[in-house]
Amino acid sequence: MRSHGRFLYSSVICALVMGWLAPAPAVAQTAKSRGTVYANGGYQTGTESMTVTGTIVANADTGSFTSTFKPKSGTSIDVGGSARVWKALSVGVAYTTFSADGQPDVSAEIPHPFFFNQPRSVSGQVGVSRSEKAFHIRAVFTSAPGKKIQFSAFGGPVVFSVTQDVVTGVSYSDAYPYDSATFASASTKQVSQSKTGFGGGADVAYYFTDHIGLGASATLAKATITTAQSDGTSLSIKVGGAIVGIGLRVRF
Amino acid sequence: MRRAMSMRVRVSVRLAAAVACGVLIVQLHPHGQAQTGGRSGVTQVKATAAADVRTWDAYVTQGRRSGDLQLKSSTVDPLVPGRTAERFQQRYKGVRIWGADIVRDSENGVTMSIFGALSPEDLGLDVVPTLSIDQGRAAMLATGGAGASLLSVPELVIVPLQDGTHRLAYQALEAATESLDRVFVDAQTGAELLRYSEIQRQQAVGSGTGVLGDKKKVSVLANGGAFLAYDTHRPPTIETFDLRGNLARLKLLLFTSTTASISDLASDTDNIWTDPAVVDSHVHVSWTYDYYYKRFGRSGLDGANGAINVAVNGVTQDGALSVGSSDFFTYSLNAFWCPAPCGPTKEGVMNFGSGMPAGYYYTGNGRRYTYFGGALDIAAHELTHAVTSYTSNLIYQNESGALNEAFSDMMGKSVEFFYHAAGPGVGQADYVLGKDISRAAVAGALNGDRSMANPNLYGDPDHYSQRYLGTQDNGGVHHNSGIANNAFYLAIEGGVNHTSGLSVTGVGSVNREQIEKVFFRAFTLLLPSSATFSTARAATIQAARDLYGVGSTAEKAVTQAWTAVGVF
Repeated sequence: MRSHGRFLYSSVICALVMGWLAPAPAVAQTAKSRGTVYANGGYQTGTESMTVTGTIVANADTGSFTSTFKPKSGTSIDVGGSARVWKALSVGVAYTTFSADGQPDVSAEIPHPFFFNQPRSVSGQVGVSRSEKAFHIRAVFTSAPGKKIQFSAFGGPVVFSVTQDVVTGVSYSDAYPYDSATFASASTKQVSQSKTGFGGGADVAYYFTDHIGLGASATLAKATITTAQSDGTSLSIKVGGAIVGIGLRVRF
Repeated sequence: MRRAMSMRVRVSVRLAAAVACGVLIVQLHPHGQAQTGGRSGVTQVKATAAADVRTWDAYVTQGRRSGDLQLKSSTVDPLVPGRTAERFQQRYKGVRIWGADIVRDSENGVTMSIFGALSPEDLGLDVVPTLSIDQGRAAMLATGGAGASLLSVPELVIVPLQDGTHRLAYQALEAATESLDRVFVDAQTGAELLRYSEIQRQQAVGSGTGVLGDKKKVSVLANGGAFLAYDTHRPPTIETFDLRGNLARLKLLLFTSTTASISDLASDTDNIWTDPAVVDSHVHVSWTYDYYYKRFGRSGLDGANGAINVAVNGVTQDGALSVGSSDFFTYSLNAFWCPAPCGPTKEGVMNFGSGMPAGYYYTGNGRRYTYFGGALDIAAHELTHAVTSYTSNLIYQNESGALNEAFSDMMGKSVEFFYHAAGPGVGQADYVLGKDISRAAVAGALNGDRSMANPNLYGDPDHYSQRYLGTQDNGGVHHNSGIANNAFYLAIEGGVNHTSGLSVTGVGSVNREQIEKVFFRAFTLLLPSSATFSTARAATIQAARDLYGVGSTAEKAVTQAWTAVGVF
């Protein structure tokens, strides 16, 4: 999983460099098109892991739980377009979606019913999901070294809207003499928040005709959302990631 | 009057409008799904928005004027400064409507929210009962079965029923042997209309402070608005009865057929227990049960998880200054196991004395005593007497009696070592019995009442040749126990018997579990009820062989220990 991420990040950086190093004469040719729209099927890397903590009040005592969730990489949809505003410079928008399900580990310290400072450790997993929707506003610099090839580099703010299942508690079973407990399940709630981050990337397209082509793009977009947890601490949710995709290109 | 009626109409119109707009949440009462005569069900009031609050505030004001709402309580909110919650009882023609009340929460006179459950204003009921109160009482008792009694005077009320109707009824709290019910009978016909249990029990854990000021968890039962020292976390119920200084009541429960009621149980309102006698007696007996279960797999006193009962505060500490000598030494400066049919439930009971007030000491030995339940070894000692009575049933006199006492001491210290770190201090585990609650008050006095490591220090024999042969104390059962106690100590820790000078190689404190199991096996399974010290020697050696093999370290330690104390 980590090597996947490295590969994608490398791809993004390479694409950015390629885009910016594209030959200058192409600018005059791309200036002929008024804009581009595209639709990609892609692959997004999982973001960094998210650790949720909370307290368990039971047996006249306070325990705790911790859950760590690292969204797995998965498919994403990426659609957008741009319109030329000046020479090789365009303004564009894009919309990307990404969702990831997972079974994060949940561990908890359950207060003992008979003794203080003798919590029972339990652990298990719970199913959670994340859904990310991102709206990208971009400045796009386009370069076309030939009639059929077109490079683009883009960057700008990204508004993320995220819905994330967050663990809020742990249920367990125990029996006399209560020196151990068994994880039963974990309760979750959906946290939905929005945050503006930043994204950038590059695109290369090959046009079969004057208007229709295929392209590949690499994008890196990220933001960190902070929300309050039940135990008073704050929870950081890092959203976005590296996205690579291929799909249809239409220029007009 | 006209003005009041006008106000009432306005309020009703506002309410209707509010309901129509969905502003107020109106539900049928859980017991009222279809009102007869087209009446609506009980209205649930949940007014938090400003407009709703104003509407219901006017309703409350008008209701107070008309007498339909009567102020029941006004409580200053302990959590939110400036807030006061007023609770109003709904009445119909002056008769209380059961379960119909409304609460107005205000801040410095400004109403913030109103919640309530209200019956319709026009019930169309005749509130003149056909039955008298006595006839109502008789009707209740007739349906309550044998042994039922009323704990309150029957009250004329209007009760909403499940079919949505309201009836004029008498209600009272009715107790029977195993039940505590709220009962309603029709005030016109005497027919029972409604009955439900008032025993609202739920397993709970509280916290409490023990005799030594230590914080402990207390296994209790939530019952209504209170918490009872009634442990249902463990396989047997463990109940602690608080006699609250009523020695006469304790004696009734101990020695007559009188059984306890729920009010005899120790209770607390906030589940933060502050009576150290209750806390420690309840908890230490529970821990002892756990020790027996974890160490030996034994299920309680009788091996079948029979109920365990504890009694405290038969005499308070201050009361110890005024009771007679006999009661003083039995109920104040003592703890004892009274077997079945003794006790609150006639299943036996462990009674723990409360000791004496601070500043007083017993001149007989120069020690001051506090709550006996505060010493874990004493609690375990008493519970072990019960175990003995259900197993070998060692006869409580002469050598078998001394063995009986010694076994309680052995298990008492074993439980202490199971839970506490080893050490000579208060709250630590060592071989001095009762030192946590029996402390030297004058120069030269000793902490605790007996020593297993050095019985001579407390005037007890550590060698069979020193045994007491008189008739006092049932043949010196608390005295001659020192011989077996020292054998137990030497088998674990090793060392030299002070009288014989013989040395013993013990199993070592890290292996104390071996000797505990050897003595447990011998004293509960192998010994006859009239066992002598010599029989105890043979039985423990055999137990060591059974458990750890012939020639085992445990067998050698036990054999050497009995030899060292002069028992063959």
